[in-house]
Amino acid sequence: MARYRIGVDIGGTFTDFVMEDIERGTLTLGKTLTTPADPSDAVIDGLERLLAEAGISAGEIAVLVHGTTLATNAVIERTGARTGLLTTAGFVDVLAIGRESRYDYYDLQLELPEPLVPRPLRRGVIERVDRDGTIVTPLDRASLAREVDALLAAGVESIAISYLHSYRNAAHERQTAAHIARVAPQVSVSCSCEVSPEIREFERTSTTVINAYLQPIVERYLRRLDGRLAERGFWGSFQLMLSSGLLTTARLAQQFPTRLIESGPAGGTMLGAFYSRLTGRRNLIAFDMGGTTAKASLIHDGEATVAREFEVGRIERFKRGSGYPVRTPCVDMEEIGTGGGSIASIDKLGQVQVGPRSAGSVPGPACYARGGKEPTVTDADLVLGYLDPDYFLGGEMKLHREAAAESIERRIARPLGLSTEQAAWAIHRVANEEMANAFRIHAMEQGRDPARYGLLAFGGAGPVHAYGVARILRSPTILSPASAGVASALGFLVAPIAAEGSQSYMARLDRIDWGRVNEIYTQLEQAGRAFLAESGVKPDEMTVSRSADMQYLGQMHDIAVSIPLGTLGRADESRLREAFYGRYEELFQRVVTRIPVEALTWRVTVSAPAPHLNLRRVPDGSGAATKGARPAFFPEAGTYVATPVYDRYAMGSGDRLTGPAIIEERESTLVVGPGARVEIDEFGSLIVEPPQDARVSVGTAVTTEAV
Amino acid sequence: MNQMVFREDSGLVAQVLWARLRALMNEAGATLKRTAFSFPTRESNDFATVLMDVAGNSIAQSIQSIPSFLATLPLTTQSMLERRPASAWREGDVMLTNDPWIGAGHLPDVSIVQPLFWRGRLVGFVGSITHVSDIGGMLFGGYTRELFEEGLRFSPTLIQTTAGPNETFFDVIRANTRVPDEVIGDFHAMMAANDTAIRNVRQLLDEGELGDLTEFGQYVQARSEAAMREAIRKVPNGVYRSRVYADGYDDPILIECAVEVGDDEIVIDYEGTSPQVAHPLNGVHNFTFAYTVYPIKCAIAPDVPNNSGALKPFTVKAPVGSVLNCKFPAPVGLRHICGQLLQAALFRALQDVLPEQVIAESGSPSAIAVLSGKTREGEGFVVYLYLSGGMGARRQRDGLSTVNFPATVTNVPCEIAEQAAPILIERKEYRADSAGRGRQRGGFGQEVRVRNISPHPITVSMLTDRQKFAPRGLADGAEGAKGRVSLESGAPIKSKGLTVVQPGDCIVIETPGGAGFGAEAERDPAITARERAEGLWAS
Repeated sequence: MARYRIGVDIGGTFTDFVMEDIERGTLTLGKTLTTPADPSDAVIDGLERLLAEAGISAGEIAVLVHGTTLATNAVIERTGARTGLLTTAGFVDVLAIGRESRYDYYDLQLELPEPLVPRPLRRGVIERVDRDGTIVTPLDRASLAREVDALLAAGVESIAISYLHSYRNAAHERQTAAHIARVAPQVSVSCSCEVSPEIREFERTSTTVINAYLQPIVERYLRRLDGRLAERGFWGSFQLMLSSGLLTTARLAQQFPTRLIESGPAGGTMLGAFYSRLTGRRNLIAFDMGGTTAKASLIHDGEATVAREFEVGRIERFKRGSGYPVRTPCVDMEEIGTGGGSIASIDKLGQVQVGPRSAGSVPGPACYARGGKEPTVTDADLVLGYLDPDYFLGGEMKLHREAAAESIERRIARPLGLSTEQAAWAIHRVANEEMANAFRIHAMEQGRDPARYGLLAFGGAGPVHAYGVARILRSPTILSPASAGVASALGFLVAPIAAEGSQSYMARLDRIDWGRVNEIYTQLEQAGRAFLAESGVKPDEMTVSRSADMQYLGQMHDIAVSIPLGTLGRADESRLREAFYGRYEELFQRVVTRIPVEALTWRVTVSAPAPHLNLRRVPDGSGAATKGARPAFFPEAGTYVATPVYDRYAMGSGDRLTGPAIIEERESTLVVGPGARVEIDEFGSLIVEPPQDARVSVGTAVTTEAV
Repeated sequence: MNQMVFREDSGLVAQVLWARLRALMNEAGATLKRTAFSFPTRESNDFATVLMDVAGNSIAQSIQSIPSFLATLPLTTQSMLERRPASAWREGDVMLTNDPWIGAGHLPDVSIVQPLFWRGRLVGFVGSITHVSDIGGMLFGGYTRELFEEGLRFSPTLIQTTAGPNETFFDVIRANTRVPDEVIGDFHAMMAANDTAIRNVRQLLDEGELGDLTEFGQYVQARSEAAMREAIRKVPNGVYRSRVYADGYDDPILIECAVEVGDDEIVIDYEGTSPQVAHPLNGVHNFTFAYTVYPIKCAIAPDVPNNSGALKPFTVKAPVGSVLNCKFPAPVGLRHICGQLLQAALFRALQDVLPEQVIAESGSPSAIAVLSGKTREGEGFVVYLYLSGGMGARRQRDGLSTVNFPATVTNVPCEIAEQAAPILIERKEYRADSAGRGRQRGGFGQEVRVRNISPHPITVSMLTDRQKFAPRGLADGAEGAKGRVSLESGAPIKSKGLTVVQPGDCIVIETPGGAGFGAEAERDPAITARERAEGLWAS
């Protein structure tokens, strides 16, 4: 009986594994170094180790869920397939022209991302469809044959097709795809009418091109991995994590690799949503801080928030607009360049700046003593006493406090006339502020008040900084889940398999053709149901949700509005308008009722139930016991305080303690300040409540004298 | 005496508060951008939201705020304070103006300023400015002879107090604009942004670390000013001159520019510039100031925070009655055309002392085509097409193709434009041969063809320039191609004015290319050969 489910997440440095024994409710974790040359090596090696340790065979795995940075890396490193693009004649530069804007108003030396398809491989085909889907110029066969031949002669491996208004009439794109299949069946084809059938030619073309660019490599990779798994006797269900936090099959993933781009981070968010439901804390910010970046995503009422568009391959990683737009659903996330390895420096105004440069793992922070001379956030955390030099990564790596102190002293403290401790606190504090500010904006942009959201902290540095960030955001609680070191992989095991579809049909609600809307919704739902049925989901287990992108007539900022199920007609016009007003008011605190409302794009998600992760309860605790104490700096105290250190693995359900405290586990360290109450729940999550008067006193930092 | 908590000796507290203020202002700006109805606000980020001290000096702003408005809004607020001293402001007051001489130089740019009270005391101001959907008068175009034809002008007016809205004002708007709901929606968007900022800043003040904002504002401005002066010190002293011509209407317009770089200050004098004209190309001093300091800041100190402190070392002089400092009631509707050329004059003047920083002339001002007429169903429509030219070459890099500079405009997707108007856009591609050659070439302009597919004529108002005077290169770089507009059926069209496109006819717009930097002989021939193979050069 196959009773194991496994999540595998290939990250930049590590490939993480989680294996759930469905019957016993136990989790086994694993980590192995990622193998960039062939990422499937790490998957197979790690898997074999995991199976060997558990003494089971691959045949006992019911489900294997996989997420990977393969797609993202291929875009960032420009290692995708040689790709051609067919556009409507007269529009070969749609990809290069983009939105004609500068993402940084002040930088005259600005560069824009180079189009993934160079100009000779962007070819115009004579054809034209108008906004209503009427064919204005029939597809010119001779032109089609000529341009396809030119691409084939240039040796393309993959072709993207993106014609104007194809979301309204896809006939020409389909005829083009059929032609390519006939003359060059070995070439991958991505049609914009399938990848992203949505209005706005640049975004749709960009999305389709990225899909085409990724398709051959993702297909090869998945085939190879599938083959290697089969060789080892795996016959269970092989699923992939999507950027939207849902699961899909290998077949669909190969067809639409754009949807895999943010699969890893989506796993973390899904874990956040799971814990939100598990603990009854319905509103959380999932906060993941690693070595180079920090990410936040909002869990509202137990559900992850999904954005309709994101960017990949930014040339300036943290500047919006410097990458390629991708118009497919993605867990809504804010990422900034603040991580443990972020380098602290002094900017032109004489202020401490943290990131976006990172020391990475080589040479790494100064305290690694591997040649890194510049102080990082980790160095500051060490000097402040938050990290144990002898218990980093469970003691696998020795940290050098003197090296950290010296680099902070030389690069920050002395030039600014501060003590080393003051400078270390400044670095820690600036990092917290950067993150809190970014997360606040992220919440506010969705019309949410961050002070009503708990903070779910994971990633190596997340728990070290969560308390500081939470106090700035006035978060009511901090949650630090067990197994946070493999959060994404674990998140894969709580995501439902689902199908998402969208289709643009732009019209004013008061003039809309409801027959057409119903037709679109029916087709999208049927396609979704068929896909789930193929994956073995029973019809009565499927849930359908629908939404539409709507805006005031003439506004250019559309918002996603939930749409009720069932056949729609004239009588629903006011219902839809009211739904739009409701969401609009939530976002912007006001509504205008005299301006018509229009819809642009219609969306359907058909989903199987989310699998339940049968977490085993941790044994009752017998009162938290310390494993020692060390001086740690707390601004509330204005000084270093002898702080008790707890071993997380020795704590049991119901154990309570009061801060200041440091709670250590292998992958991370949770730091809580004076007066905070900490409790461990039945599933081993640490729940922190900051003291009520947790106003952040920014003034203490400068009046504090070093100890 | 107020409790002063932050201490300059560390800077950390101030820094932290500053970062928070910026974040809070970002939220306010995002609110404005997303709730405004006006096309330029949404599509061109044509807005700013700014926090100011009690004297109207800026402290922090939303990151999306465009540089020109960042410079004008504090000046606008200071003008309001001259008319209505700080002591007269009450909590809940909302003051509006679109007076070009007080605001940003033309009537559609509306500034709304609100006092920031905290614990019963006035501690600062929050202002927003945006290009609203309509302000009455003639449609946005190039045919006005006097300001009166361009729409309603409001001197600083209280449009709301705690007693409620000023209904007279709103009645005037309702009675005199084409789309009053949208226009009032734009006002509300600005007020929402201001309210958001006020709420956020108050919360931060409640935490007690900011003092009462004045001291903190001075700190921020002093730091920024010092950093700007430091940047100016690196520019060799001297007086640097240049001249640039704009097409104008009938006669060219001369912009004469002298940049006097002192030890830690810069005086820009436009003495000798053409007198104001009877066409809407005239700029006001605020606008000239804004479009002068922005490019210089880009060149010498892009990273310094853009607030009143950073702009203090700059003095901008333009002769009264000139096209850069016009007198009432000169028409000002298209003042962006001369304003956007100032960067070309300034960079040309500074080319020898800042060769690494300045860029060759760009294919700007960006072309705007305003299409109006009737849809097939007989309803009226107005659609704006923003079409950028190429950006000038940099010393080390080619110019960017089809990118706006110094404007911050974003284009409209063709598929969206076709939803709004009975047109078929038949082509939108790079314009071959348009880039200025050089060691580094300029950016390419574009060619756009728009066909009228309705049974009614479509009126196109072209607002562009650079048909007579090409963008010029630096250090022996070649000129970029001039702009061109024509009808498929006939003769070329002038850069400004109305054109009727009959059913079935097609208007062809070719935007200018950016100029080159350095001699073409020094360019790697392999790159040129590759670009030729790509079809970017015919020869």
